[in-house]
Amino acid sequence: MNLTLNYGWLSDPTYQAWIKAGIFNTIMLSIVCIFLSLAIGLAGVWLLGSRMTWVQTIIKGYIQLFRNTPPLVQLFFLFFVLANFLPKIYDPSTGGERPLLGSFASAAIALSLFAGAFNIEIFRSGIDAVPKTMVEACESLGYSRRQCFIQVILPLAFRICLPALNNNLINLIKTTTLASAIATPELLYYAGQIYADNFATLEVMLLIWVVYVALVGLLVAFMHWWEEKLRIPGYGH
Amino acid sequence: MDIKPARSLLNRPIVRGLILVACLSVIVINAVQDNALSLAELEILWRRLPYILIGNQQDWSVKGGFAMNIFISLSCMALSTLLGVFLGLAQLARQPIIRASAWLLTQFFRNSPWLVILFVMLYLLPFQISLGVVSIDFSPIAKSIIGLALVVAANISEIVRGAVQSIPSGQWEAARSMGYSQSQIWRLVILPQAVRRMIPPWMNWYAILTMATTLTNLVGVPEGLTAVREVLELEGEQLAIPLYTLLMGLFFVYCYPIARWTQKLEQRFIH
Repeated sequence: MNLTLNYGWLSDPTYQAWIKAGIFNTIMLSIVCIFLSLAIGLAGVWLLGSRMTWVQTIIKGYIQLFRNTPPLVQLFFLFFVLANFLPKIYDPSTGGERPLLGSFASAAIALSLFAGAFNIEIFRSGIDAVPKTMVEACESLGYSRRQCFIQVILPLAFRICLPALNNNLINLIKTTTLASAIATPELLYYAGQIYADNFATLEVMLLIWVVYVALVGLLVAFMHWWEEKLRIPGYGH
Repeated sequence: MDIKPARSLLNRPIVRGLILVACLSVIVINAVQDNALSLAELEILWRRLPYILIGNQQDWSVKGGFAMNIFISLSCMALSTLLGVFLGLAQLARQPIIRASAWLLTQFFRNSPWLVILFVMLYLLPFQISLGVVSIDFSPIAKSIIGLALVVAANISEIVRGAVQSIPSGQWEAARSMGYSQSQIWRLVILPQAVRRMIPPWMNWYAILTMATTLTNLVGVPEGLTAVREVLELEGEQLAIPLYTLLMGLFFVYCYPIARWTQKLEQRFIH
C-alpha cells in the first residue's frame, strides 16, 4: 500500500473559501443546536416535575422515542416527510416558492430534538442528586416552586450534571455531520463538493478529519476548564 | 415535591402496553378509513416488509435491510470490545510511552465524528489486501465495520480505564499485602470488580452503535434505511410516513429493552 498525498489543491482560493464556509456553518449549526437542545432540556425537566401525570407520560415518551431511534432516520423523517406538510413560503431570491423548513432549519430542529431528549435525562439526574433537604429548606423559607427551581435547584444541579452534559454536547457537535446527508452546507458537505471536483478523496477526507478533531478538541478543552471552574468544593470528586 | 399516586391499574406495564397497542390500532384503523392509508398501500407495505427486514424478497438469505444493521452492530461490537479492552489496559500501563500513545489514540478517535471516520475508512482502506496466498476483500460493509469499531473502541477504552481506576486503591494494597503477584491481583481482584462496572456503559454503547449503523447507508451499505429509501423510490412517496415509522419502530423495539436493562443493572450497582 503506497500512499501519495497531494495537497496542492489547498492553494486554490475556491476550495479555501468552501472550507472556511463549511467550518463557519458547522460552528453556527452547533451553536444553534446547543442552545435549542439546552432549552428543550430545561423545558422538559420542568414539565417532568409537573403534577399532571399525562404531561410526564408525554415527556417520558418523547425521551424514549428519540433516545432509541437513529438520529439519521429522525433527520430524514423530518426533512423528507414532515417538511412537505408545512406551508411553502415565497422566496424573493428566485421568485418561486421554497419549503418553510430548509435543510439548515430541519437539521437544527432534528438534532436539537435528539440531543434535547438526552439533556432532559441528564438534567433530571442532576436534579435528583440535589439533596432533598435543600428543597425542604427552600419551602420552609417560603420560596415558590418556580423560585426554588430557578434559584436553588438549577444552579446546584447544573454543576452536578455538567460532565454528562458536556459529553452530550460534544456528541451533538459530532452528530452535526449528519446534516450533510440532507445537503446542509456544513464542513462535511463541502468536503464532498471538493472531492467531487478534484477527485482527491482521501486527501480531502483526512484534512476534514483533522479539522473536526481539532474543533471538537477545542470544545473538550474549554468544557474541562469550565467544569473545573464551576466545581463545588467538597462535592463529588 | 414528588408525591407519587398510589400504584393504580394504569401504572402496570402490561396495562400500559395494552393501552398503547389499542391507541396504535385505533390510529391505523382511522388512517385506513380516512383513506390516508388505503388497503392497497397496506398490502404494498406487507409485500415489501421482507425487503426492509432482510433486504431480500425471494428467499430467507440476508442481503441487507434491518438484519444488516444488527449484523454490523454485532460484529462491530465484537471487534471494538477487543480493540477497546486492549487500548484501555494500555492506558493503564506502567510505561509512560505506551500510556501516552494509548491516551492519544483514544482521544483522537473519541473526538472524531462517526460519519467522517466512515468516509475516511471508505477511501483509506484498499479494496483488497493480499497477504501472500490469501487475499482479503474489503467491501463497504467490512470498511464500515472497521470505521464504526474504531470510534466505539475508543469509548470502550475510556470505560475500561474508568472502571479500573474506580476500584478503591485499598483493594490493590490489600491484595499486595496478602502476597498476590501483579497478574494475580489483576485476574482475581481488580478485573472481576471492574468488569461488573463496565457492563452497563458497555451495553449503552452497544445501543448507540446499533443506531449509528444507519450511517453506513451514506457509504453504500445495503441496510435498513437504504431499503426504506429504495422502496420509497419504487412505490412512491405516499408510503413515506408508514415506512419511516416502521423503521423507527424496529430500532425502538431492538434498543429500548437494552436501555431499560442497562438502567436496571446501573441501579443494582448503585444500591
